[in-house]
Amino acid sequence: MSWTKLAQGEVTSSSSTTAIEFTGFSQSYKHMKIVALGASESVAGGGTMAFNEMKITMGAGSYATSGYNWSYRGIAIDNDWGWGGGDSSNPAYDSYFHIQYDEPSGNDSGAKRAYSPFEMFLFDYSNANTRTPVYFAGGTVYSTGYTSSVYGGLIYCMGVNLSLNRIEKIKFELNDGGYFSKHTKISLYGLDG
Amino acid sequence: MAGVDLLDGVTLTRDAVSSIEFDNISQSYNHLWILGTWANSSHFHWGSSMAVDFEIFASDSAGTGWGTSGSWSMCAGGSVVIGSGRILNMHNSYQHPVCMMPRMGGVTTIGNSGFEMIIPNYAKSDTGDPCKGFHMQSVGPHPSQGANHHAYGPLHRLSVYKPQGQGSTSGGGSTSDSVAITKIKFTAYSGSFMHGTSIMLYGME
Repeated sequence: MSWTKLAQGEVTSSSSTTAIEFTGFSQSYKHMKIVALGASESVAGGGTMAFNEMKITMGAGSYATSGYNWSYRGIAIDNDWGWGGGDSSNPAYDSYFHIQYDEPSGNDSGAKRAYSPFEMFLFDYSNANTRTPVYFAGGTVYSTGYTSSVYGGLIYCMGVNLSLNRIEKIKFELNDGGYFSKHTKISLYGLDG
Repeated sequence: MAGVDLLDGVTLTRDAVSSIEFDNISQSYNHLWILGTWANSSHFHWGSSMAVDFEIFASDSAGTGWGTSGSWSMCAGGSVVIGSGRILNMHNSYQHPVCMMPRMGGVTTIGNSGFEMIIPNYAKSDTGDPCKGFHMQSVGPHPSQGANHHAYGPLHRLSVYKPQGQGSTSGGGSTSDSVAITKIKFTAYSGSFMHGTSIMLYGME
């Protein structure tokens, strides 16, 4: 067994990176693992619940627009986002959203940052004759500055590309706008099969 | 350098140790990936939980890691470990159950729970709102199912640290402090790690 790094995107200055996209990566491996630290300014929500959402889309020759079926589980303290630790699925999703909850700074003023370590598996991503299951796990935590009314959450997704194609491109975007900030690093690894 | 290299590892045979640490971690990789199993001298019966402290250090000589000042989010498939809810956020506390230890074959013996952890961008040292964190998932037999082989969990944990002046009331802030991780440490909250414990540390190119 061997692993090979296929590609990497890193934000070294907080400037104008609105999307991190990978195209043309090797199709010579069986599975793909993605390891990342995502960081952004939070531009949605507010107060103790500011956040940013990360949108992930994949595709073969072009990005899928309606070919994914995602089942996800998001769990947040106090069930503020209505998921309640339960399962839900949305076959209409053509992408899924990883929510980077903010780590609020103690009040509503000032720039807030959203951080999230996350990892993914794309199973048999290079096979053009099968659907591609994708596993995602990540999230973030509540504020170190808050001891009450705290928020944090974790999200776990399984998605399946309903189309029979390989994954040739993958794109990470901030659905709420703003920029990926410094310290964001996303790495793609291929595993022999 | 291959895509993923084994950097260090500890496998206990006859020894019983209170903590396991990896120091002088190479700074030549992008991410750390840790795979391991736990066994504990005080928790080898089914139905007993095992807690492990996890700390990360920006210096090999630091006496206290960031585990004492970070925040944690945890969720589990059930309420056995983390209380009445499925999600638990902790503040300034780092002593958490990581698994339930199994009993195997009805014999009082050691058992294992496995875990995976990633620490992305661990070697980054820079100014401008630095941050470190990890994602961890572990699994072990469920202690209350009346059998020996029911899966417990999975138990997911995730932590984000904003040490060294972060989290101020003025917002993101900045710091000139290095935040590269050079050492990590696992400490048994009670009892000792023992035979059945094996932790491997990998660097991801």
